Amino acid sequence: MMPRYGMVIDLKKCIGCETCTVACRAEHATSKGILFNRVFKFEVGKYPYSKLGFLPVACMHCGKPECEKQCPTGATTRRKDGIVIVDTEKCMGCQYCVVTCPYGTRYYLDEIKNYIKGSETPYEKKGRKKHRRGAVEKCDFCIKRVEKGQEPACVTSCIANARHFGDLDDPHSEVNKLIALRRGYTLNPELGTEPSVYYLPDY
Amino acid sequence: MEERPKGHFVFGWKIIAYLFLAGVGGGASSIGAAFHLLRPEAEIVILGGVILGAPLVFIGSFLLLFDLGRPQVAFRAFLRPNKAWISRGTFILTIYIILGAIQFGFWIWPFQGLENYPSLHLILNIINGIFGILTVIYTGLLFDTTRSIPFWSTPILPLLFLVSGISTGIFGLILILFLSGGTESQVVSLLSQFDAFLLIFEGMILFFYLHGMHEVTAARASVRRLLRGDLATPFWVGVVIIGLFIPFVLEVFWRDGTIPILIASLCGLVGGIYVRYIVVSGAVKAPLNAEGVLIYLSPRPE
Repeated sequence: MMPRYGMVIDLKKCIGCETCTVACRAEHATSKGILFNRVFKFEVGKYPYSKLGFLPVACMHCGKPECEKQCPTGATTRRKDGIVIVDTEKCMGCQYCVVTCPYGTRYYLDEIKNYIKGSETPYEKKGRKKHRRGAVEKCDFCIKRVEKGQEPACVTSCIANARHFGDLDDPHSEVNKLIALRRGYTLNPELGTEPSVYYLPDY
Repeated sequence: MEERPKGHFVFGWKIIAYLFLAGVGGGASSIGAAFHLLRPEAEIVILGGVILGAPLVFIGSFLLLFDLGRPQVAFRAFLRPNKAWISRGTFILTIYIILGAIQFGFWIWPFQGLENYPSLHLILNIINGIFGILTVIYTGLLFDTTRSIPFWSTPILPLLFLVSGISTGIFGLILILFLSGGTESQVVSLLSQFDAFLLIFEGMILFFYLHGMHEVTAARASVRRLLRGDLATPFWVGVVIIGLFIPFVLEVFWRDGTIPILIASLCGLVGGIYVRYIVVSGAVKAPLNAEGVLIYLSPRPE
């Protein structure tokens, strides 16, 4: 049976170190200005009853993706295993998915920029083949790694073991157990996008 | 990197110009079609609708094309009319431009002959007018279905675009009438009277739009930007004073003079640009909602 991939991020364990952000950039060699994974840092409550919160956000791989609904070219599709992908060959770069994504996880690549101006590292040179100028790109759950049976780069690299990856359709999977035990929730449920990325509360 | 306020999304000038041109073009051809049906003796208005309609929308479509990241695969925009409003809009624009081009080509220049088939011409023009209206409102419907931006996610928006489009279309027609020298004062005063009514209507729609949006928590930020934030000058001066107040006063109190109506038309067209500008630039994405903790999307990272 085809799995439905999903991710669980434990906010109690997340320390906001941004290792996932760096691992993601290392995996995908994204241009300057583009990070498929970001960690939002914010203050909850009012001093002295306050704390620092972290929220790692990448593509939610929604069950009903707004981006897929609005894509006029059919470049954005949701695979049977639940991964939402962009076929940059088909994308015409209208960028409406960037506007319509409620999670702000899509990026338009208007030019391939090196991180250090004027000097291209061998790694960037190798990585730029994966990107297409003028198209929209985003997190793809590290589809190549997943197809090889590995976990996405952000999951493997997480130093706090806060990220878990697995099959949401399998009731005995680790992700489903965590969601049930810790009352996992999704972001902006009021929009009805049905994300595949769940968060566990930080208490 | 340019710092943007949190959660703002800004479309480029090309999109705003397209929205304006599509409004003027579609509005003018729908008014032209209405005249064709109701007052066919005012041929100059019908002519004006054809002259303004398709050519302006054609220019606007080119702006859209150049706004694409990869215009070489733009044909793919036709592929998903069952779901995506952009695809539906691409069909609407194409049909509209083809209909306008047929009328233009066989009635004005380079060929003639359409006037020998009055009923065919009437039907063609009415379909053209309907597609003109669709051209104006489909962008409103596209914005309406964008749930991530609460300021756009309202069915009042297509109505605002429609009324503003028809109003600016009339201003464009009045300008065409003056340029062609055929100032049939009766037609002009009819148009400007109807337009004065539309301006009241547009003002009311704007009021209810902003009032309704102020009640929506996530859209309140947009309304605040318009009323007293960074978009206050474009809104109060560009939309309210130049776009609504001045044309209305001139059309109601000095409707017999040539110069006042000319000024009213130019002001109204400028106001039409500003209406599109404030709607597009006022967009603020809804914050991320992590079980009640709201996180506003920050500017793009390095």
